[in-house]
Amino acid sequence: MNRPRGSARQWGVRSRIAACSDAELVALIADEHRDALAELYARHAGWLVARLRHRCADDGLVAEALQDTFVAVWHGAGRYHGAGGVAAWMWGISIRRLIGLLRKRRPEPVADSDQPAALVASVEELVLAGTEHGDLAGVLRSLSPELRAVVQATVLDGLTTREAGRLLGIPAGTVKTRMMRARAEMRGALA
Amino acid sequence: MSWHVDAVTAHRYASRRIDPMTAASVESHVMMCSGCRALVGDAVDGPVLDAVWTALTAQLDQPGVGHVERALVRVGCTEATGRIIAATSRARWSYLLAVAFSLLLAVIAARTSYEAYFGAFLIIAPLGPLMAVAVVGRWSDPLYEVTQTAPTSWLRILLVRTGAAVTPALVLTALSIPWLLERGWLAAAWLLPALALALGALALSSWMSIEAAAMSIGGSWAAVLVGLHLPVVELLDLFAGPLQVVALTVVVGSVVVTVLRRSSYEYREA
Amino acid sequence: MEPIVVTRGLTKRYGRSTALAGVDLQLERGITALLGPNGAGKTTFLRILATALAPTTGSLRVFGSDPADPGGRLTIRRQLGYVPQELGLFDNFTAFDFVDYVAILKEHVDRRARHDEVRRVLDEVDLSDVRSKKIRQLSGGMRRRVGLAQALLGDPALVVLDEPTVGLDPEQRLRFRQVISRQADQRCVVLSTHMTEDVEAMCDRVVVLDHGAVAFDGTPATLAGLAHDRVWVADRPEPSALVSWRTGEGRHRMVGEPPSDAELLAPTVQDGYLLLNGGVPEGASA
Repeated sequence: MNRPRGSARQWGVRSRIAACSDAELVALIADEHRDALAELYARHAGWLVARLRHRCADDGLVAEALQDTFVAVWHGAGRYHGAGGVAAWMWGISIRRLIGLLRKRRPEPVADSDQPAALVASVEELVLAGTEHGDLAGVLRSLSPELRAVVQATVLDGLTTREAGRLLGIPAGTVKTRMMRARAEMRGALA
Repeated sequence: MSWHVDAVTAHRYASRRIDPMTAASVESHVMMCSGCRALVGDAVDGPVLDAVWTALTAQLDQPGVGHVERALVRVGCTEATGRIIAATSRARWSYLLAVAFSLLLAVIAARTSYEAYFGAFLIIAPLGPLMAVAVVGRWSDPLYEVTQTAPTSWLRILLVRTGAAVTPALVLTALSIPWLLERGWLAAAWLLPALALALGALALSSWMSIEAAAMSIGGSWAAVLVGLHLPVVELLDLFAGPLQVVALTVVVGSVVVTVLRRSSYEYREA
Repeated sequence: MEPIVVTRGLTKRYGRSTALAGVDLQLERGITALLGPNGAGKTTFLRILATALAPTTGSLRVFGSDPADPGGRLTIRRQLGYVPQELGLFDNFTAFDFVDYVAILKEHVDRRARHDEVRRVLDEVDLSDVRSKKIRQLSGGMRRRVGLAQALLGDPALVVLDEPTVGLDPEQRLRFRQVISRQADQRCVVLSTHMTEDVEAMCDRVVVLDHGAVAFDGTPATLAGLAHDRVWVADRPEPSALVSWRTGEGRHRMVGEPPSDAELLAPTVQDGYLLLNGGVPEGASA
């Protein structure tokens, strides 16, 4: 069976589905409509793969994470409540699936305290400030690669420090200290 | 929104030939813009997406295999056999009923000291597996006509389902034997007759529906044994010797008839 | 070309009653409808065709094979799709699992190829979208199409459908017709129906059974042609008409022996069928 690309028959549900919004597709998926899943796949699988590949160099693992993501969407569509949009919801699922697969591959970094919420929030503010500046790139450029990776994982990908640690293969404590350094450097860049 | 991802940037992003700063901008923008999501998605190599879609479809279409089928496959049944047994869940309830029926009788027989009740137990217990056989045909298979005209042999399906019906009935009824141990081996004297009745019904069903066959066999069994009006001691004597020989003959005869008439199961006269 | 089905003097008796009284038919590719009142022998004929029932006397050859012979029977069954009148479905199965189960019975052993085939037939009847739903959640029309899907497994050369459109609303019937007529080019489809509209809409050939015998065999146009010059409208009902009914315009449409100055109408299959039966047959007006 070929990957779906839009509507294939002139009658039936398919043409109707092509006109649905992402959120409507998710509602149809919750009602076990396979064509809706196909349409959601056609719309989102591509960019999800592209973005996952920026987080993990192993294409096989990325493919696996993508498949797991859509399996999770199929079974969990009923739990989607519309907060943050379908794209963000799916990215959240994908990156966590990828982390889950990575954890199976390599031993977990030394566990320690989790999620200093205030710290992430303050870095997020700085990134937002950078976005409003129209110069997110400039703000990020000011960071060294390892700090940039940490900011990307926590702020852009919305991961906890523990999850970020797993993705990057470093202990959560290290994530935290790098976040603090990133905050200081970004403050300087925006000043 | 002032800025959009252009095709070149999308391509460089998808092929990871892009500086991290632009990549971050693409990522934060793409979350808000479906047009640019599509552009980035189109830049990804299609075969990978096709392969994942095929695997995903296969995974989601995997039939929901129940405990029964999984257990059967684990003990060496083929997928087909497992599914043929598992598909008729309505029949499964009947097996359980038949089993419960036999167990109940066994317990009654054990709890009572009256010889008469033990006699009744021996007469009624073999009917449990027979009841299980009676439901493996048309009644338990809403798909009867399609099943019957499929290339898979109907006799094979019948045998598989009969086995699945009779085995638990026999095993569970046999579990009641410890309670009946004071009766000695006579507590198991119903086993061979039970098998004879079940196989007899199967053989007879080459001429008629399996329900009718089970009914006539079970009816004759009860009518003869009750009609004899034997004192309990003589009934027990009957079970201890002659009846076992008769039962064994019926078992062998039924197998022979079933094999000889195997074609009549496949192509019915009515 | 060799006909797909050949029957000669086919009879079926149940005790003293006769369901089929000697049917001679040759069926080829395309859609053939069996038309006739209840008890005319349609279901009996279709069951014999589907090898669910052995005839009392007479001969039946499908693809040149004899169903009485075990090898021939297997040959037939491997190229047969059958939807009986009262097709039960497993309500707690999904549409996919159900068709997959039938595919197992139809000897599709390799799991991967079988699943591909199941997806193909479900797509064929436009049920791909709901294949993961439990059958009990599906509408009546969808359930009928699940039944049809199992009959299309393995691309059979002969498809036997017993009253496939009964109980469907007009939209579902239309859908069902579209699906069935898509099948007609490559195979022989035999279906029974009460509905002359079905015959007119999609059948290449119509066989009218009456009391277990063939009363008519030809194209739908020929059947309608039996009522040529026998259908007319007038402002007043004519007592001589076999049947008459008041039309929406307040006039009366009649079938029978028209008066010489009658305003004649083009006949339909139903008119021909009515004339053939000499009045209103039971069940034909649905």
